[in-house]
Amino acid sequence: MKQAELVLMSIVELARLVKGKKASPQEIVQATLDRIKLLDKKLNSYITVMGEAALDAAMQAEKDIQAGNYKGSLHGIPISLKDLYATKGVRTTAGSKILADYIPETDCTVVQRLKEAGAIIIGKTNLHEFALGVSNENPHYGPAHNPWDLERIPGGSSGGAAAALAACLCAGSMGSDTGGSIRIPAALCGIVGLKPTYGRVSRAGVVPLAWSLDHVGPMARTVEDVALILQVVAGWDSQDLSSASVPVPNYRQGLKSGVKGLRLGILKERYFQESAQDINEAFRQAITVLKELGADTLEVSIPNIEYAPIVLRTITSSEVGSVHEEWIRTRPQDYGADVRSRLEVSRLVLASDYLRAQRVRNLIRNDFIHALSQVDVLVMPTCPVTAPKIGERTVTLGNKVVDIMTGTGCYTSPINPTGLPALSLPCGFSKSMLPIGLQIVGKPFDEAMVLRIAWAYEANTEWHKQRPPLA
Amino acid sequence: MSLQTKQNITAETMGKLAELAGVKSSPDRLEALIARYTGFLGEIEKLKKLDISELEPATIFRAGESNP
Repeated sequence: MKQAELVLMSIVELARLVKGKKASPQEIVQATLDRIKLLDKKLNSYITVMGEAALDAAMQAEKDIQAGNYKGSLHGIPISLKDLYATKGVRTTAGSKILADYIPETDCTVVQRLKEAGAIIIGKTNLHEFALGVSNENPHYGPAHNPWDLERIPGGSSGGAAAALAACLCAGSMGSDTGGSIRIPAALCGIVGLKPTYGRVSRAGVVPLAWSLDHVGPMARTVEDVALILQVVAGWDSQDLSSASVPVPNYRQGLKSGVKGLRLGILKERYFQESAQDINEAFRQAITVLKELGADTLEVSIPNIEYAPIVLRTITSSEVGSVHEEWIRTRPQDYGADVRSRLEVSRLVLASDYLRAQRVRNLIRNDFIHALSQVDVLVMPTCPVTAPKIGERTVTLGNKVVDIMTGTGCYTSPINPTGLPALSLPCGFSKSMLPIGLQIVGKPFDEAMVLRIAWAYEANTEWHKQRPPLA
Repeated sequence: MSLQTKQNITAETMGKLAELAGVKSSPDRLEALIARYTGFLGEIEKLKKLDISELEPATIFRAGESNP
């Protein structure tokens, strides 16, 4: 099998070859490392490439497989990690100067589970500093670039992971999402990203942004690949107080059951109608495809959704201010300008305002739960715009100019306070060939339904097969 | 403090607030901090229009479970 073919494959395709001993983990990892060497100068999607360690792990995987000890679909597959995940013996920078020399002594829970499943950790991906932003313009490690247009951002904060996946510099990745940081880059780079239910995947050992809003989740080029990774990493963890003891289903079991008879909720609030024309058109087409496959739609309301961004911002500000309390006091000069500014404001949030936001959070959560009681999932665009250019600080929504974080995250951020699972997958391209994402939001711990609908849409469209015009 | 008062935060007041909050803010940064904080307070005001008398905060823990 040629190197050039291996790197373009999905995890499912690679697993078939590995299990059948038609491709070795070493071939796959070497091919990936060669592609990283070729392309990552342009993309800057990695902060640390674990070349030797990955090849050693691949060699061990090869021995295990030859000895008949095949561990499953992730065995021998190169997976990258947003550089927030504590990785034993490997610097874990959080995209910061402050943690530039932090070398964890143990793997975080997610990395332990990936390694136990035989996955090969190939590197740590670039991110917005401390995950506190959406552009991935990192002042310490350089900006990550969107493979579809190198002058544009990949989105963030898991921008490096999304760029690496879109350019086939890894087969799967793990990101994090506090207001959209998996889904935004997934949409802007044309890949699949899942923010699972809060508590579904352990946050233990992942550098926090805001404890009560952080979600960690898988990213890949296909829905089934995301399901495979989720299967490995999901489940209760005693090390994470928010971890849920809800049983983990078999996510592949009902994946290809189709959407006939399922009901999709479409929000009637004008809030979701300020998207660019290309986005609206792609969204309408996506709904048409799903209806042709047998789903029906129902207009539902989230009456208090306009307050969700303020709730998110207040809670995030207060919690991130606490996470960074010591560093912002002792090392303010070591932060990038935008993150430092956000942290300074965060230290001023009153406890009474934080608690008010946490109370309104329950109001919004109740609205979503009520809406979802009438339908199987909610669907909406992931972002109202396509990828902005590097250096842009604002985007235009309708007739309003808003800051880039508000502009790219206004459809993802309302979901985080609810803790509900939400996935983004490709649903088209703009006239200038920039990817557009469709967001599917499910009921608590019903990732299976979200994945099922996403798979059905993906199987009947070709968007996920497109590759950016790189080597 | 009324919204109007909040919106008229002086550099001196912000300097004291920042100091209390452990934020080192040189004079050239204070004006920008005032602008950002004032904007943030304006957003918070919107939440005060809602009736949350029946709602508890989403900061609940289970007694008997220890932190890891």
